[in-house]
Amino acid sequence: MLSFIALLVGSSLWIYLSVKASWERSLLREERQAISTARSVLEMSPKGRGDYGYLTVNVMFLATENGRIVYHTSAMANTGYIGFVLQDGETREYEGDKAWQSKDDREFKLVTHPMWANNHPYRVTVAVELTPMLDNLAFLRAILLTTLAASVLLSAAVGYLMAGSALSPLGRMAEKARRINADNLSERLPVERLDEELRVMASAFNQALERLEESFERLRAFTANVSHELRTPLTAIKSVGEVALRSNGDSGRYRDAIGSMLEEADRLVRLVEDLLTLSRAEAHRLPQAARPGDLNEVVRSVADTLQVLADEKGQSIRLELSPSLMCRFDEATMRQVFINVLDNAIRFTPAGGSIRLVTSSDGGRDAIVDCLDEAPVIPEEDREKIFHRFHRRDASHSASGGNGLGLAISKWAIELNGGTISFDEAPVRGNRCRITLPMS
Amino acid sequence: MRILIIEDEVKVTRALAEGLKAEQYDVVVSHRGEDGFALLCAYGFDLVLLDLMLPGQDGLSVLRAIRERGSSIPVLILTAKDAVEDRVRGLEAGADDYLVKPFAFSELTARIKALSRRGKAEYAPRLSCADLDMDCSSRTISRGGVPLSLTTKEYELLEYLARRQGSVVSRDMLARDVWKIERRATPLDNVIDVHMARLRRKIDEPFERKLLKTIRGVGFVLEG
Repeated sequence: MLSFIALLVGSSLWIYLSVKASWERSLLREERQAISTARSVLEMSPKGRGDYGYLTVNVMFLATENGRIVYHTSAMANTGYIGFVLQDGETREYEGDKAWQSKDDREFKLVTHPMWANNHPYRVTVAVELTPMLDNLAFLRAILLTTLAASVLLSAAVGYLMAGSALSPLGRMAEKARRINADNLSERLPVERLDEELRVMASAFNQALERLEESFERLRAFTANVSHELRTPLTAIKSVGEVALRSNGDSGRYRDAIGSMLEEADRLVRLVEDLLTLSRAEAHRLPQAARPGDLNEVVRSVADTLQVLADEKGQSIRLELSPSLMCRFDEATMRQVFINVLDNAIRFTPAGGSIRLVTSSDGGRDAIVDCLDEAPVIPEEDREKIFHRFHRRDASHSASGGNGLGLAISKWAIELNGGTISFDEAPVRGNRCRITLPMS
Repeated sequence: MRILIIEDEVKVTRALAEGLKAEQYDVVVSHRGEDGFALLCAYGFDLVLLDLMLPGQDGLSVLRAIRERGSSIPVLILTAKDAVEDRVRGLEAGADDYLVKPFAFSELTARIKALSRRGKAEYAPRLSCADLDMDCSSRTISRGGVPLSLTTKEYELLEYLARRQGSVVSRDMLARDVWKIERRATPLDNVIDVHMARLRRKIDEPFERKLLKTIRGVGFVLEG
């Protein structure tokens, strides 16, 4: 845009200057012709006053001798300069160039030379009329300036329109983005009728909105869940306490009521602790004391600890452990993770079933612990949700005392240890929970 | 034994004082750190329960002041800050033990007993509770002369209860001390309950007199 204007100004200037220079050259030629004509006239003519104006109408000069006009052309007389000189006697005063304006506003350039001709010391003043050139130049200037202004304006307008048409989708997007807040996170930027680059940007923005909306929704559900989870034990405490107070029971009955209230308080304590752990994990502030150790040992001891729960359901826990799985991990955390995972497997595998804990290493890169259960297969779309806070695989989960935070905490803990945890379908039946941890 | 409680929460101090008095301790309560420190300097105490979050002079600086005086009185800190850094700072400042709020009262009395026992080696090779006999060196038990066979875990559980007989043992204590798992979760509660049920089946069911009792909402107690 700017360079276009510069180009325009430059070329106009160039046209103007070159036209002006050519005019000036022709004027100079005219001037030289006039001088040579004057010389030849003065050479030829005898001393005295004469008028050769009719010979060269267009040549304007006059010659003076000792301040007296001795020759002049008729054209020169027509300019009115003669009278001017006679009045002022000006020609004596100077040599060289001067500008002069006639009474009828014509511009002249007057050049005065001393000239020795025919044994006389003359002074010759040649006049060249500038008016046509000046007029033409003024006209040219006007044309150039007008076209220049017009094209600058035009190009500015075109540029503005062009930029405007490119910017307006961006402007629309910005306007839309400005209006999106927590209450209308489901709105999206318009993607249609955009060029490639903008469409990529708009859809990236939309995807970010999608994720935001999702986590916002989860947060909202989480808050609702937390208050629900808090309200349940609180309600129990209040009602058990009130009922016990109202009755005139024996001490055994009071003891029972207090015991029940303490149990609920315990549930609350644990919920609050779990929430605290989760929020610390999310802020990456979960204390981790990672030390090198054999993951097999943890698996073995967890299986040993939970064996009694499997026994109660007539289930068997089979261990298939690889020789050694040296990793760096926080033992208390990993133990908790395996307890959660195995407890889930025991809970959802039918009575009499079997659970396998298989460890292996992925070519020395990752340690892998698979927990294979015989529970109903988790639908693919739910496999990620299992790790969401307060997700319940079935209604009975709550009755069994878990608060739905165990696997969410496990996932964070594993990831803080640099590993992964995920569910998929086991090769034969049931689910496979796979935990990986980088090996040392 | 005289215990000084420095804790600003009135409801908590009242409950603690009442509970500890019932356990035959002499209890003095102070609600401010400065007052507590002055009391400690003026009178002799055997143990201090110190809250970390206090108005005015906080618990940690009280603790430092106590140690700077050259006193080696056992200090058990109570803190609501469930953060490792706080516990570590408390222990570094000279605390002997800590309890994170909310805690079970039985846990508190167990800690107090452990602290007051400190330095005195106490390892009875034989334990008994009514007609239940335990030989800790051979790990054999019998009741009324009838030998009983327990699994390793059941034995450890019984020994833990027997060493604290008459006192209530919470699930938290069992998880930490018998199962060595710091963070207790629901699955472990179920594990504890199953083991407890099995233990009861072996040591109590065949006999008239029941020794192992469940205190609802609190824990378990072995009592003759």
